Amino acid sequence: MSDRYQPKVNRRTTLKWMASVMGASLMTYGCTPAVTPTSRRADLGVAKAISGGGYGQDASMIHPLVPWSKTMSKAQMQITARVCDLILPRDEHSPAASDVGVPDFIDEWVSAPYPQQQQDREIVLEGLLWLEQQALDQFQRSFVDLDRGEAASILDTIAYADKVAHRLQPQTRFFARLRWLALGAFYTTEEGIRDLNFVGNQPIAGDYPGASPEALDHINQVLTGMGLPQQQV
Amino acid sequence: MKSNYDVIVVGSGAGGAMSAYMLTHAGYRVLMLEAGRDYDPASETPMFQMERDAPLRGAATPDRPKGYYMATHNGGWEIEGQPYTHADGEQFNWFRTRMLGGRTNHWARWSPRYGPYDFKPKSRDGLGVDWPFAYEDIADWYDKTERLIGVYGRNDGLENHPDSAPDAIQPAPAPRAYELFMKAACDELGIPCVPVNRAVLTRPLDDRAACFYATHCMRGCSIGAAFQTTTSLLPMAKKTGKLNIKTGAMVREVLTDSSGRPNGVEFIDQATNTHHQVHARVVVLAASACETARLMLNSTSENHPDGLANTSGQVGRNLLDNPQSKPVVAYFPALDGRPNYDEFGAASAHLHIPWWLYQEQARGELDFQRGYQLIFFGGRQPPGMGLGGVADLADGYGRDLKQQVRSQFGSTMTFIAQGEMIPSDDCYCEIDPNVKDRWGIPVLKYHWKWSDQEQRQARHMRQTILTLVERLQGQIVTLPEEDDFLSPGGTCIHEVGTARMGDDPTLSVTNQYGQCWDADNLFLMDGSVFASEAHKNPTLTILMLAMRNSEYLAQQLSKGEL
Ligand SMILES: Cc1cc2nc3c(=O)[nH]c(=O)nc-3n(C[C@H](O)[C@H](O)[C@H](O)COP(=O)(O)OP(=O)(O)OC[C@H]3O[C@@H](n4cnc5c(N)ncnc54)[C@H](O)[C@@H]3O)c2cc1C
Ligand code: SF4
Repeated sequence: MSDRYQPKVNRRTTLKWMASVMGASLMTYGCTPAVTPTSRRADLGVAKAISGGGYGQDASMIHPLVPWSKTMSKAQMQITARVCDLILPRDEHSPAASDVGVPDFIDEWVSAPYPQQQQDREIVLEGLLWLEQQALDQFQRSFVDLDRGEAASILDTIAYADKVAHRLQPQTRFFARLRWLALGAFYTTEEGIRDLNFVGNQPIAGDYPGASPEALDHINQVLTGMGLPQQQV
Repeated sequence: MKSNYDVIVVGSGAGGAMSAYMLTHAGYRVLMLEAGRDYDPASETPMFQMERDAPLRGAATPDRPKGYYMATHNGGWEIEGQPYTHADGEQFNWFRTRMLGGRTNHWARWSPRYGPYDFKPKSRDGLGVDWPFAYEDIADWYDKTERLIGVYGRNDGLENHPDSAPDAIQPAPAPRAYELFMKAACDELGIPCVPVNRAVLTRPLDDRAACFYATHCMRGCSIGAAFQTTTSLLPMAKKTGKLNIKTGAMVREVLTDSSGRPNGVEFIDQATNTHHQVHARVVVLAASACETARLMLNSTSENHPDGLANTSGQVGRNLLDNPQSKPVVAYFPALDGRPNYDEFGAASAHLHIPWWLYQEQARGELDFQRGYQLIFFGGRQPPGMGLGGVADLADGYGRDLKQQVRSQFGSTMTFIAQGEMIPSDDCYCEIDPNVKDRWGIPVLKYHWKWSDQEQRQARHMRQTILTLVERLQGQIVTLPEEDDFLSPGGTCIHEVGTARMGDDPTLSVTNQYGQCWDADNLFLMDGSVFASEAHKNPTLTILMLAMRNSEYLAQQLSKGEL
């Protein structure tokens, strides 16, 4: 398995990572995928134990710090990067998820010492292992070495709300959660915000004008179609 | 500490700061004791910081339950070393913020007036109690308060939603496209959808600038446009040279002399962990409704075995909050791909739905009393985790998903309803004899049950939201179950009522001026004195009462009555 994804530690942020982990105790994730006799047992290494507390109730808002260490193993990071890029590939509007550090953010998230993040940690790490096992079972290769079509044949079973077979529900939940995290991570970056064409956070002198003339026209057309009364700003 | 003071004010939030402002301007020397740390909005407000610069993209955590950048320093639902407890199987969520200015640094600034019905609820429907005055008696004080703190809004002349004096209200910001979309459905259904009144400047006032429509008010506002006591009343009071503020001072109890009359307070200086007593002619409690009740209940002595000023037994009782729905999220395909423009505005909603079915209720056509307001947020807001519900809506992956997000961004709305409850014997706080905080001060224990009244109201809230969503051809993204529609008590963070005012000393704790029946030099200047709580955000009324009652207090002092 090659290390294609290089962590984006240089993204323009004020985050600072604390020196890496103290002697990490081993943690295992109670996921026992069905292993056919011919396939290998999936192994993504073991995430380090959570270390470092939260940022506390009086953390600086001007100089934010992330006081906990990242914990995902190298192999977990690689598969995360691959899945995130399948979720958010490069297109004509914006780069791929891993180009803007989304996998590092997933690691930051699942390594955080808060209850929600700890819950997501289990879901994400188990889900990644399940994906890897599917790759080994079906293609006798690691997920990161699958071509797009092969990877898609696995994701297609868990990524669409209406196509999901009942027995795959936990995996669907995993995928929905990872996608939720990847979307939030991606569309808060400079590139993601530009892709959304977001306008705002720019001081306006004088009164706030409300809906622009074009936006108002559009709304009034929509309202006409619905048989609802016209509006003005 | 040497007593150089006429009045001690406990707490620097809405009530305490207004009181200190009024008293210092009337010439009295005030010592303000604040449990939280000092706070400097000019240097500490993250005005333009992006979510990506914060841990977890600014997502809420137990340390920052409203999001990383929201100005809740040393605050939240739980504070380390300062617990509170619950009766078995019951829950009340208590949000405290331990910093100079208290929760005014991050409140959403919604500032509606109570109306004529709101002060006389019992006269209207026979439930709860009336206030000891009528709207007409205090209307001028609302005008004065609005002029001082700065409120924008619009006079719409709606039933029980009083207009302001024309010079007391600043122009409201214009609505956004998605708000007009909602208003169209309301217009058809006969539901009012009108500008929100908020304590935000759209015109400069004193040395505070007008809003520039670009930064989140709940992070605090370093230019002073959004009202918070740390950029307005406190600096103004300090300018008189009559205000001394001591932060990090946790008041433990109100002290009394041998006759049982209050003569000062005891506080713990957190920096040195030492106890101090300080004396004055008058004590004003404005520590927030529940903290004020706690202080009174903990101020026991031979003269006051059940707590200070509590011969009525009403201290801690009648706890109220606005019954608040869990959020409903809906997606409106009709809004997809609409023309883009700056939709940030004054950060919060520009339009909302105040209660409107007063006549139907009077005719007995509804199965509950009292109203609710419906709040809806949405639009193309700065992206954060969840993308306003778009991330929950997402399906599939790849290029299609990116296109989905691009077109749905700004097409979702989140609805929250906030209602009025009836004061209830089931909802109160008392001292928990078994649990103490980090300084050894006994803590509060909460009792809370929603009654059938609120449950029936909640069904109506839910139905109204569904009707609006359906009329606008929306799709539900998140919808709480009908019988699980309300959040636990306290979640709305509008807790009031724990030492209510009234005309009858056996049924109330203070007179109409927040002056305790049992101690004429002990005044309550926060939400504790509310006799009922309309479906309207309470802080403007807290500020109004603190202003009016401080003027009364100053007059009493000048007459030598206290
Ligand atoms: C996220 C959020 C949004 C809100 N939005 C709105 C809104 O839009 N509209 C609205 O009307 N209301 C809103 N509120 C509620 C509003 O913040 C409160 O009603 C208001 O701040 C109450 O004012 P107060 O002076 O009673 O208490 P606080 O503002 O809480 O101030 C009390 C102060 O007293 C201090 N204190 C407490 N105990 C002691 C002690 N023993 N010794 C010394 N000091 C002590 C506290 O540290 C605190 O600083 C919101 C609240 C929150 C949390
Ligand atoms: S939107 Fe306006 S009032 Fe709110 S914080 Fe920004 S400048 Fe201040």
